[in-house]
Amino acid sequence: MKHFSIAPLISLTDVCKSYRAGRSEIAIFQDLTLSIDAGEFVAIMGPSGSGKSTLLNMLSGIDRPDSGRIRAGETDLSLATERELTRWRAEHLGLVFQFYNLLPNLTAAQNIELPLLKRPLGRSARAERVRVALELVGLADRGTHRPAMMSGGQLQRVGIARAIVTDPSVLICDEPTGDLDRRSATEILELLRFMQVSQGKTIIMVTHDPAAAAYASRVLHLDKGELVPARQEMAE
Amino acid sequence: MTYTSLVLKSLIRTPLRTLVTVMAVASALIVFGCITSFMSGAHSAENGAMNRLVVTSKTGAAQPLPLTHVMAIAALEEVEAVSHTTRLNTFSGFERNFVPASAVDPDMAHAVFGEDLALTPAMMAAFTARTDGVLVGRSQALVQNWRVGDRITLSSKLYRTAEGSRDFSFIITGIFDGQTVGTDTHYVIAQYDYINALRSRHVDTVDTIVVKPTAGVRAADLAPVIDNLFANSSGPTRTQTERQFLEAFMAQIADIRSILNAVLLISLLSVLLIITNTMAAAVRERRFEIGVMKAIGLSRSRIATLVLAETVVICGIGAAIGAGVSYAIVAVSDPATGMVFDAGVIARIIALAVLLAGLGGVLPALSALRVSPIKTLRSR
Ligand SMILES: Nc1ncnc2c1ncn2[C@@H]1O[C@H](COP(=O)(O)OP(=O)(O)OP(=O)(O)O)[C@@H](O)[C@H]1O
Ligand SMILES: [Mg+2]
Repeated sequence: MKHFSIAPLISLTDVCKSYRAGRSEIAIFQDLTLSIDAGEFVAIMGPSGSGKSTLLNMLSGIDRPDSGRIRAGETDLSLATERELTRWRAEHLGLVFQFYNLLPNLTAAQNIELPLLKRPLGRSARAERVRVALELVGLADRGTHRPAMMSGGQLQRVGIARAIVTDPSVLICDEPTGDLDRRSATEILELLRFMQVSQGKTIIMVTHDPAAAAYASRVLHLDKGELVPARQEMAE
Repeated sequence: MTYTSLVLKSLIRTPLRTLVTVMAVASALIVFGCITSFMSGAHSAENGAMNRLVVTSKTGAAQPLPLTHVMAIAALEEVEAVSHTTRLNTFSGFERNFVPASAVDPDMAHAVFGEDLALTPAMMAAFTARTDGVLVGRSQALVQNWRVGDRITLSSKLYRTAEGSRDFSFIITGIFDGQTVGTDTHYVIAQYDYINALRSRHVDTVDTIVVKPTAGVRAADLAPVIDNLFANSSGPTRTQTERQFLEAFMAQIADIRSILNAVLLISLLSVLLIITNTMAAAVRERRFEIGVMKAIGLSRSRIATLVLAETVVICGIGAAIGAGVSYAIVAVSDPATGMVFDAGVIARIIALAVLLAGLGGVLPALSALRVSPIKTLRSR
């Protein structure tokens, strides 16, 4: 128990990943190692094509490393089957995307309810959770709106509400403010920090925006397959 | 929201496409329902009893047999009852309004067919009270709009009276329904003595003789006994079980059946392609959403189930419409078609709809299974 509590929540050990482009292989990561503690807000920056999304996909169990280990809590993601990975995602992870990825034919509330469908919850219990999630992101009165009628900032709040409605321990956000104006971006970042500080979520966020990275408790820079802590003045 | 409402929401996203597919399923099932009703109806050789024999002339079923044969057969120990039939080949009013009529001996016919035709003693009494009385089958009575007590004239293509008229006048004394819905009730039963007295040709002959063997006697054993009896007479006979006899007639219908089956198969195959195509298009359009659902934790099997459920709903509504319309068609159709829409037909429509949903949904469901969330997320 004691051992578990001091172990990092998420750890990558000697992870290698490459893609085949035609005849040649492009190595994205070679022996990448990283550990993230529970409750951290980690920002990952880096040039386009450096592998940030690939890293997040492996952390989410959507993609797999070629070799090396990825552990999350007590689960070894690199050994898990597809079915186990899906279940792990559903139970422990909230995903937030740059372009929200909401289902256009569902209302905001129905989009948020989607990850709850596989839970053994009654209709009213689900509705209550959706209501709480909508309230947390400040959209209590927008539940019946469809995505087409909402602004980018509102859409991303719905995206965050969908990510937190299952009460996951980790939020993984790929450029969550990449499509937003400064004001909306600030609101979203405040919301993420609120999730970290008062809801105890661990947040891993990819961003191109130094101002966004400033919300994180730790900033990492990914370049040429290496993860290095960002220089202090860059993060500031 | 539930998985069910998710399925329904998907279906009404493209209402026209869903409607068209449902109608395609419905029309194929209407074809199926009508053909099945037809096949399970009166046009079945299974209506021919195994335990009755039909005696016809050895030279051909259209050749008459002497009336004396009837008495000779009735005298056999192995025979319980005998009835003879003489076809009159009649129409009512105009030639295309064919009304099949046969002349029989009422008591003999009652002994052999009374049960099959559900003839009551009251009906028999009214029938025999006058020699020009006839019994009309329910379906023929409906078609001609005839009622008990009506005087009708039937024109024979085979017989004329001594005066040269081919018109025979009758009084309808009863309408028979038959014991089961499958019983053919599309004909008229007249009395032999009346016809025989009026006709100028083939006097004292009959067309076929139906024999009911005594209990314990096998029909197949009795047949050669009868044929031997008349082998050296002026009218040699050919004796078959009723079913064999009907099967000969059914041979032509069997050809129609195989054509109908082919039509059915083709229509079912094409509706299968339509279902597959519709659902494959739906999965293709929603590829992105499926990828997102997988990314946020809905399992592959759940997503495949949702696709299959959509197919089931389409086929279910199609089956309901198909069954309803088939029922309506059978209900208003000319009873001469002999179609019967019963629980068996409904069961077969449901079974087929389930099969269509399963087969039509399997490829789209597999392609939904294969959607990769990585590729989906990268495509944005
Ligand atoms: N399925 C694939 N097949 C081949 N190459 C791929 C595949 N997926 C990613 N790559 C390559 O891997 C590299 C890293 O991609 P990734 O999307 O992780 O970068 P990124 O850091 O998220 O970039 P961006 O900032 O533009 O989002 C890129 O060079 C990309 O072309
Ligand atoms: Mg990226």
